Amino acid sequence: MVVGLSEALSYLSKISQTDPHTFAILSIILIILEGIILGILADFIFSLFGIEAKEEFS
Amino acid sequence: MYLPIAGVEISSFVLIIIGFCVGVLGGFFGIGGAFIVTPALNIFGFPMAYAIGTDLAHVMGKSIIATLKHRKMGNVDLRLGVLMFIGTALGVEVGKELVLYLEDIGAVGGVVRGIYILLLGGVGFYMVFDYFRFNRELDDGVAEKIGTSFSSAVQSINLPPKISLPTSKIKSISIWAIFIIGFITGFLAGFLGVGGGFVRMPALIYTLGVPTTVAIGTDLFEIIFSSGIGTLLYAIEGRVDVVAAMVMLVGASIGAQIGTVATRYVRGMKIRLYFALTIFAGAISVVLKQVSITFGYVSVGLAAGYIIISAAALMSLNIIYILIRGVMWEKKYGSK
Repeated sequence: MVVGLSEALSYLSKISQTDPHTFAILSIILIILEGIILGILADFIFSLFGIEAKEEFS
Repeated sequence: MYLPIAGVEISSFVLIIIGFCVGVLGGFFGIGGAFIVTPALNIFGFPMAYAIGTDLAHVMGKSIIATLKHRKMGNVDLRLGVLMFIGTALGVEVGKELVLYLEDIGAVGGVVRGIYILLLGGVGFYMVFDYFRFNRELDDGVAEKIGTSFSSAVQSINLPPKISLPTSKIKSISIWAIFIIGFITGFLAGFLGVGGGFVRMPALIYTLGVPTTVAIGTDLFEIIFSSGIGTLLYAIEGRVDVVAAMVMLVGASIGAQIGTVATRYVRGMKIRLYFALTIFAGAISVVLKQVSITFGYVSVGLAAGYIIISAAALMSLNIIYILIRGVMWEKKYGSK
């Protein structure tokens, strides 16, 4: 997995110089995917502690 | 860790902490937080163009997380967000053109920073004034004073087509009023070279009459698109360190949850007061930056960065305290 990450990193670094359009699209997709996945995951973890998103409280 | 795209060596822990603090503030205030992240990354060695591009990418991801959470809490007015974004996009373009013109005549830096200081200071001052004027008049259990005489006038403009925005508790408003407010906030964002969350959030409250929590959620929804476009433009120039942005998002995902949920445990008026204090710190930071540029004091410029980072850290701690206190209160006495 570490090797895979390292390869992905060097690939990203390379295309940021050689293929900027692919790099831009890939960057956007990666950020959106990570945002959605981490959002759902953090929401789930918080709900385990009883801290949930509900209608306004105060 | 070494980041080959930006060519910077930085601790991943530092990136996670920066992401966390700005996540807390972003979820709580509905701002992107560029005025905090960009100087922070710059202080830790990122060249300015990479600091801006990486910040934009991180802001987009963080806004997705916070918007998902605010949507669950019923705080995102999608209709208002989409309509306002059209005006914002046009305004950004016009603001950018004005900056290019000022650049041609060699007056851009001082003018932009001067207007930035006036705007941060002015908005902050008005919000503090508004808090002390109305907070005591509110009955217990009333979160805030919704709307102003100006927002009532805006809502009464009789220019078709008009729509209702139930999420924002607006019975009827002209689409043109939303476009114009969106255009003005977009113009300021494009002119100042910022995301514009700190202008849009108060604009939604005071000029359209949107409740504070809905203004926060709707602003975050808009920031997804504005920062997304910015990310794309900077990434095409190869100025986004996507790895740094992804590491920062790990911290931001936790921070944004804390900031978003904390809005449940504090009155809307109090959120406005804390927001005003944060942007006051931003104004002081920009003043110091201008002093360092004008008189060549490098250390003053560095102090400007540290002031805004310290203010962000302190406000994040305050928001975490609000959340913990609120959750404990709720567990003890139950939900209202």
